[in-house]
Amino acid sequence: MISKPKWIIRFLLPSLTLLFLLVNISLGSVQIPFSDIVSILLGEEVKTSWVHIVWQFRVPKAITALIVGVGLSVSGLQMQTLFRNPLAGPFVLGISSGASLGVALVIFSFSLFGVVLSQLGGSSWLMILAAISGASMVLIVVLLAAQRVKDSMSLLIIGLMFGSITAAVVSVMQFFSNDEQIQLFLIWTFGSLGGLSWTELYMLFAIISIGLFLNTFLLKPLNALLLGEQYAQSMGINLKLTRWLIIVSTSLLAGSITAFCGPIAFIGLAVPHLGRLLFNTSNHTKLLPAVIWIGAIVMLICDIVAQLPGSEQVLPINAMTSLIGAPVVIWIIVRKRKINNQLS
Amino acid sequence: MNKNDNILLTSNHLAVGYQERRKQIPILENVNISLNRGKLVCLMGQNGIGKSTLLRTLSGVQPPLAGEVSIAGKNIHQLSRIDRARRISLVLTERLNAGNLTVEDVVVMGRYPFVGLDIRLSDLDSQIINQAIDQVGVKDLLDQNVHKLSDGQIQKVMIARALAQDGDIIILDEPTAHLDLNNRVIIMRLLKSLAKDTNKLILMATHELDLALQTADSLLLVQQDGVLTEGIPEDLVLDGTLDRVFDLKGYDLKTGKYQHETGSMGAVQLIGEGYVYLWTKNALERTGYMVKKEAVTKITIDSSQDKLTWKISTQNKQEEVVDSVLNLIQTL
Repeated sequence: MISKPKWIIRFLLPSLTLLFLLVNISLGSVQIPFSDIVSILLGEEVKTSWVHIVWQFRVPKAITALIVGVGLSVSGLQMQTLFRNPLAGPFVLGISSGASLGVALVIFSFSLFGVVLSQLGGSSWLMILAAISGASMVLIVVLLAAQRVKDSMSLLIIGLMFGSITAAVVSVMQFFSNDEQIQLFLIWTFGSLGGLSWTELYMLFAIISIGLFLNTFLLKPLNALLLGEQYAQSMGINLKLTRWLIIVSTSLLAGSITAFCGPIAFIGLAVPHLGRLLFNTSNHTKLLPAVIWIGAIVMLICDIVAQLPGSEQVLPINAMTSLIGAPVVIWIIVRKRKINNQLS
Repeated sequence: MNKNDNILLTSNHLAVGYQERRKQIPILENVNISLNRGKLVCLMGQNGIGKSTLLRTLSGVQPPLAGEVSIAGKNIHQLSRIDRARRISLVLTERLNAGNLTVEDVVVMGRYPFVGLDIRLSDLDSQIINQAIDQVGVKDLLDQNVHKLSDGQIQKVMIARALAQDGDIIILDEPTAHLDLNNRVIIMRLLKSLAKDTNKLILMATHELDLALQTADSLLLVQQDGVLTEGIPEDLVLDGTLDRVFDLKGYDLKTGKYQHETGSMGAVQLIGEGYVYLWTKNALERTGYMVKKEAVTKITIDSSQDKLTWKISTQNKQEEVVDSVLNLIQTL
């Protein structure tokens, strides 16, 4: 017999993910009947324009939503356990800002050489590389700060400051850039799950897979860290190696997602809390799979709502995640005592 | 068994402290100890003297500034992390804040030095975990979340986790600091019996002088000049080492009592026996009377009836009978 949480993780959550994936694909500015969607997905002959819409736009977008949800949530879980802070997450700690800075550097520095980004074939790789380096650099600095500043609130303020520094540097760069570059960057900051080609999607998928794979080495250390660093050390955990693994994993996850989809707020912070709340556990062997599925589902839902079903307008995805995520943050602060007990 | 077979933890010219850039800041130097298995050893000394630093170094988490620490002849700072974790486990003061973990989750962590990345437990692992849970007596709590437990229960769980790690040594840094008296006694007793039953060395830092004197197999005292002395509690009381370590003022260790300025209220004679006599004497001395064999005022304890009574008789006055120690003192 399998216990209740196992049943939920193995059957209920995957089924829900599949369901929302289908709903996500079947909704959009062009109305396509659900039966035709299924036919298209099964490879049957339907109107060519519809096939094109589904396979070139909707499916990549839905899969992107799924990957982004999973990647950011796992990264958020790592941050919360590593910093022993319920408010930690890739966005709050400034890691997304670091990635943004990397991207901004790439976009704007091209204007100096008079090259428009879209003219460059290998630019995606460059953007990803810049975003990942930016993310890891910020994370390393925040980690160094965390060892001096034990107070968790100060840590969050340091993260906020990184956001400000990024914004400032970006404004300076904008000042020296042309309109086209500025527009490109602004659109990027709104966050978007659409617009990834299949090739880019494969790239994102590959990088996220590596980032997720690293977590198989992290289950034990993350659990041990729940008791505190001294206990973790006494149980034979290599703290230095653990920190590096988390830095690499989170930078890959948050960095690559930020590069492709822009800075997406609050998912990384909110989903791990949803996981703890629903499964009443901090044990990563149970929590990590739960967070992976919940992250996928939440992001698919955000994307469905952002499409404003029935209308032709699409809201920026960042607005959606903030609408859902910000109340979660407020709720966490209001109930801080209880949450602190859950995580410290 | 050869006497030397029992020696488990030794240190040789050990210096502990911090390395700050290129400067060494030693806290304790030239520490030479040799502790036996199967014993509960209490490390005592004033606050800030370096007990925690010493424990961290002995447990291998912090490197020594000089000298070495060996378990059964092996230098622990040359062992791998895992090998060290398989020999020494740790229990700390700080209140655990691991929240949504169950007691079982926490005890299972004791096996982390033995299991693979997927934390799959072998039959042996499960057996050792169950044994640890039984020995500490937390079986009823297994499914509970640790944040719902009392401080005393949490320390028991942490001790169970340390037992599950199944090394030869358990090191505890003031495990009873946040506990009430009842739980302190429970934890000390538990540690004492665990040392005996499991033949492990249990080394704990504590400030509980009275409990340590009554339960520890030996005391490891850090004197104010940084010299360490080891011995059984009684010897250390009688030769005055404990007095020097704690610089006790107005507390007589040899009798286990505070010294009151007796006699300021006069002398009384007390007649009676057993614990009633002892507590009445305590009350009288506490309030400033000197209890003597010959005195004008005479107090006789009458425990022949159901209810205790005290009879006060003085030369000239009429006899008075009171029914509590409080009334006795007020009447005097």
